[in-house]
Parts: sequence; C-alpha cells; structure tokens
Amino acid sequence: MARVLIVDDALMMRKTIRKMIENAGYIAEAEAINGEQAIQMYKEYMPDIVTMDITMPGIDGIEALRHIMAYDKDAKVIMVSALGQQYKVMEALECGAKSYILKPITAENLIAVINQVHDKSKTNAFTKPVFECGEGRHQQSCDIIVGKTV
Amino acid sequence: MTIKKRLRIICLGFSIMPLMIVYWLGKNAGLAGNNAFEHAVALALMSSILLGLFSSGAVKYWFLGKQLEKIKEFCLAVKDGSYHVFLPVPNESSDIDDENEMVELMRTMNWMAHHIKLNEESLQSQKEELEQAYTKQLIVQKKLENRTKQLTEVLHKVRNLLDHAGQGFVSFGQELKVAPEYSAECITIFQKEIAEESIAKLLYPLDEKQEEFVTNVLEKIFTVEDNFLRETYFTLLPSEIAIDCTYIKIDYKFIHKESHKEIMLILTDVTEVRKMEEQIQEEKDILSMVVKVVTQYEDFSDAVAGYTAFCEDELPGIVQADCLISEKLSTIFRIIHTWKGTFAQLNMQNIVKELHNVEGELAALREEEVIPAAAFIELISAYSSERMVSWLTDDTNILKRILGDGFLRQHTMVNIEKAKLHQLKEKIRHWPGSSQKQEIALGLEMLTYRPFQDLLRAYPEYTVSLAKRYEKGVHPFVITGEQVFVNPETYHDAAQTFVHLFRNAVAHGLETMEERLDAGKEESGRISCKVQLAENDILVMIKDDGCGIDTERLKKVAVERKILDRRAALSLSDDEAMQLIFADGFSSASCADDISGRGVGLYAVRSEVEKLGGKIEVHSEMGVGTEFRLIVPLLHSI
Repeated sequence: MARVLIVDDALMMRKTIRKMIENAGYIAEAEAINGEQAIQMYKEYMPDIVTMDITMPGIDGIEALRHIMAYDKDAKVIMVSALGQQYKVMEALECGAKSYILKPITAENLIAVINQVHDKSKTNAFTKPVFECGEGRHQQSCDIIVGKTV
Repeated sequence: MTIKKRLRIICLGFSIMPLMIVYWLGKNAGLAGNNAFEHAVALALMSSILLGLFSSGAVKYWFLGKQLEKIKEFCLAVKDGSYHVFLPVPNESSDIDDENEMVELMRTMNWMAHHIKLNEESLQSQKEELEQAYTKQLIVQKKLENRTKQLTEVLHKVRNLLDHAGQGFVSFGQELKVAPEYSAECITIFQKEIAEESIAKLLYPLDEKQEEFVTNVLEKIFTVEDNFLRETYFTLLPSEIAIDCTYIKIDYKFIHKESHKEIMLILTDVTEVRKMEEQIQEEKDILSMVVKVVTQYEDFSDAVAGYTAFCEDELPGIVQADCLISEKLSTIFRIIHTWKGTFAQLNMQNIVKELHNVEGELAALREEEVIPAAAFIELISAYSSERMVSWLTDDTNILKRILGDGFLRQHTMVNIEKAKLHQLKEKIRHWPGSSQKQEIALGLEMLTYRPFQDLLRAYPEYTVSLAKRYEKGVHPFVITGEQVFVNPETYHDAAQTFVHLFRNAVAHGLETMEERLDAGKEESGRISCKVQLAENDILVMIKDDGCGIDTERLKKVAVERKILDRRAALSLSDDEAMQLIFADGFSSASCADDISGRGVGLYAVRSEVEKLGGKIEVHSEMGVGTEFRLIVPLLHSI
C-alpha cells in the first residue's frame, strides 16, 4: 500500500488529510509542517506520494516541489491549492506536480486524485502509457473533462 | 494555265517553225512572187495552225489520258472520306514499259489512301474509347453531384441543428484560432463573427493576464502526451465566463484523431439560471438571517445595541483621540472587522457587505507608508454614524417585514406572527432541492418550540388546590430544571396525562396532616417537578415525600380486581408488583371520586409515554415518598 507524506502548515489540515488517506487504506508515512521539512522528509522516507500545500511560510510548496523533483524526477507530488491559485497550480504542474486538489478538501476528491496518481505510476512502470491506448479509452477520458475550474 | 493550253502553244510552235524555214529558203531561192509557192506556203500555214490548235487535245489524251481521270475520281473519293478507292496500276516489277511518273504517282496515292484509311481506323477506335471514357466520367460526375447534394443537405441539417441548439459550438487547433465552422449562437454570444479569432482573447477580451493564462494552459493541453496530465490542465480552464452581463458555461472536448488534435468548446448561456440562482440565494440568505436572528436573539440584540453604540459614541471618540493616525486606523479597522464577523455569524447580508467595503478602504489606507491625515479624515467623514447605522436598519427592516411588526423581544423569547411563520415555511417548502433546506426548515420549525415546562405550568397550582380539597397540606412549588425546547404539539397529549401523577401524589402519596405529624414529618407535604435533558431524552421527575407505595396492598387490590389470581400475585417481586399501578383498570383508591380512583390514570400516562417511545420508572420507599421518572425522547417533527 502506498505511503504518503503530508505537507501542510495547518495542523487541522494535516489531521484531516491523514484521516482521509488512512480511511482509504493508504499509509500516512510522515507529516511535514513546512517546505524545508518536506524536502528533508522526502529524502528520509522516500514516500510514494506527497500531498503538498502551496502556501506555507518560508519555503513554499512550489519551491519544495522543485527541490523534490530535482532530487527525484519520478516523485509523485499532488498540490493542495486554495481557490484562486490557478496560476500557482499551473506553475506547479509545469514543475512536475502530477495533479492538484482544491480546498476545501473532501475525502472523495482527495482519494480519487491519489488513486489516479498512484495507479498511473504503477501503470507506467509496466505497460504502455495511457495515451497510446485505443480510441475508446481516449474517448472515455475525454468525457470526464467537463468544465471544472479553480 | 492549263496543260492543254501549254500543249497548244508547243504544237503551234513546232508546226509553224519548219514552214517559216521553208518560206525563208524559198524566198532566197527566188521563189518569192511565185503563185504556186505562195499558195503552198499559205495552205501549209493554215494546216499547221489547225494542227497546232487541235492536236493539243489528242496529245494530252495520249500522254495523260485515262490516268488523270482516274486520279481525279480517286481524289474526289478521298476528299469525300472514302478511303477504300484504288488506282489500278501495273505490278511494280513486271511491266517496265508502262512504268512512268504517272504510274508512280498513282501508286504513291494508293499508299497514301491506304495509310489514311489505317489512321482513320485507329482514330476511330480511339474516338470510341474516348467516348466510352467520357460516358463513364459523366456517370461518375452525376453520382458525385448527387453525393455532394446529399452531403450539402446533411451539412445543412447538422448546421441547422447546431444553430438552433441554443449552444455555441466552436473548435480550434494548435494555433488557438477559431475554425471557420462554428454555430450561429456563437455570434450571439460574442456579438461578432469569430472565425480566425484568438480563442483566449475571445474568452477574456479585457483581461490580459487571464488571456495569457488560458493561452498557456491550452498550449500545454496540445503538447502534453499524458492523458491524465492533460485532464488536469483542462480543469484549470474556466468553466464559466461573463461577457457583457451574460454568463456563459463552457464545456471542453478534446478531439484527437490520428495526428490531428482539436479542442471543441460547447458554450451555453446560463444567465437566466444564474439570475434565478442569485434570486433564490438572496431569499435563502434572508431566511438564514431570520432563522439565525430568531434562534440567537440575544446575540442579535446585543450586536444591534453594541454596533449602534460603536457608531454613535465609540467611533467619534476614537477619531478625536489624541494618538497617531495609524493607531486610530488600526483600532477602527480591527473593530469594523470584528463587527463584520459578528454580523456574518448572524447571516446579516447587507451590513456585512457594507462593512466589508469599509474594511477594504481602511486596509488600502493602512498600506500606505505615511498615512495622510486628510485622507483619513476624508474616509471617516464619508461614513457618518447615521449612514453606518442605516446599514443595520436595512437588515432589521427586512426582519420586520418577514417576522411582522410583532417581532420584539420578550425576555429571552421572540414573538412571531403565526401567519408570517407559515409564509416562511411555505417559501422554504417550495425551494428547489437544497442541502440547507432541511436545516433552515428545522430552524423555522424550532421557532414554534416552547419549553417543556410550559406544558406542565398549570400543574403546581392545580396540585395545591387539589390538596386543599383533600384537606392535605402541600407547599407551593414551581417546575424546576432546564429549559428544554420542544414542539408542543408532539408532547401535548402526554403532558395532559401527567395530571394523574400530580393527582396521585396528592390523593395516594401525601398523608393527611395528622398522619404526617404522627409520622414525625412536617404538616405540609412537598411535591416537586423537575425537567432536564439527558442526552437526547427529556427527563421529567415528579416526586412527593408521602407514604410511598405499599406493594403488598397493590397485590391484594390486584387480586380483588381480578387482574391477577392469588398465586400469581404472591409470586410477584416488589418491583414487579410496583408495575401493577400501570395496569389497565387498576386503582388502589378505595372508592372512585371525581378526582381519583377510576383506575385508568397511570395506564393512560404509560400509554402516552410509550407512544413517544419513552418509559416510566418508579422509585418508592414506604414512609419516605415516591418518585416517578418519565423518560421521553427529544423529537423534532422534521
């Protein structure tokens, strides 16, 4: 089962995320309260997935993401964004974040994103990338894309 | 000049020449003047001329004769397109004597006709082939025309469908320029033809930052190969935009066929829906305010008084205080922010909005390094106390309109006209599905709730007067405990039956004054009633300090009234025997009077309590007293 590193400066958010991922059967490996800790803990625990708050004092989520991606280009980082941070999210995706989730977080959304990121990492390791699959698969994925926004 | 004329000149020349020589020789010989000579020459001359004139035809016939005729016929036939003609010529090798230029010419002409004939045949077959090809082409062309017509019709129909679907359909490729094919609705939405326009600019004509952002996201969508990441990028695009006061919902479709990539936008005008939602939201906000204010009336009342005091007294005091402008500004900012939070807690929309605006202006001024005194004064004087209080009045006027003029404070309770409450309930009932609906409906329902004590409020006085009739003494008492708010209709019937408990306490519980004195008790008895909330249950405790319940006597009465046989009665434990008082038809009073002893009292209490899902416990001690504990669940009618 995948191990998750939770990065957020707010205790309540960390608790909430921990509870959600543990209920879904994931392991909350560690919690970091800022960017510095996140980088250090990533190196120490090498988690499968990281949930990274964007706005944090000191080294923020995007800076921490850059460090982590430089250290491990296969890192699976999911950004946690507040409403109206689409520019930051865009920047994070360009830096290598695999996806993002909007606050307020619901267990359903968080786990869906973690599952997708986690399953995809497994898929990519053993099979062809998704975009090379048949048209049906592609069509299905397109149908999901219906106007969500930040 | 024809051959015949030329031959005539030659013949004439040749026949006259010798005659001229003869004449010249004769003249030299001295024959000039000789008549016979002269006549002979004249005759010879005439003969030569005649010969010269007429022999040309014979010569021609002899030289060219029939061949020329045949060649002429041959040529005419060829001219008319008949290539089967043939000029008879001698065999090339056999008759050498007959061979001349004419024959050679005729043979060549035969070959010529033969070649023309061959060429003609070849041309003819080519022509036929061409004609066949042309016919085929005509058929294909016809088919093509039909197909084109059908396609045009289909295209027209599809276009019609799209144009009348009430939605805009736009597509664009990697250049992010709108393709020429888009539905008519797009023109209505964007108020212009949009072919070749930049899609990002169309979506955000006045916002360069957003335009750039959308462009970047779209470029990413076209370039990333990972479907999951592409979907993630799609979520960054706007799901709704506002163009000239209309709200447009946008759905995105990524079309990827072979190497061709395209994005289709489906644009839906949702202005009406949004307006309706806004209206509903406004009503919901108002109702939320009503519910909050009514259920938290004390907070509301304090907030109104506090805010009014702030506007009228505190604020001018701060402005005039002898301290730095930055300090004044910070203090005002902090207080305004607190009031905003307080009123937001009460869902008071209008004043919160206004306070938010003031807060924004104060925050902007605070950001300046040196705050100009003039700017501070200007800002403060723009917000007079009357103006600031009027924001609150706007909200309280709404409350009055909805709750009626009778909306006023009465201790900690609020009075609302019943009709107004009914209107409110009806409004909520007609809301479209909403998660808040249940909550607000419950909140409104709770406005009709009354403390449980109210249902029992008549009993203390009744008990005291009843005791007088029994000539027993009882201390006046009040219902004590917590205020447990309940829907009175739910508990009305049960509370009505509780009269039996008070009546029993007087009739069977309390001893007479003499008996009490004998027992060493004070003359007047004590009856108490306490209501409290125990988790989700209402607990009502009715207690007397009377003689207690004699279980042995209960058994005896039960046997007398044939509720039990003797043996069964004897086998009952004390607790079991105690339950006999709730049996139908049981009364331990020796005779029924107008107030007690019909044997239905406690049975009725138990029935009603059980109907609510509750239960009754009895604790009694001989000579000390009895306590009834009624436990009923706290029920909401929604």
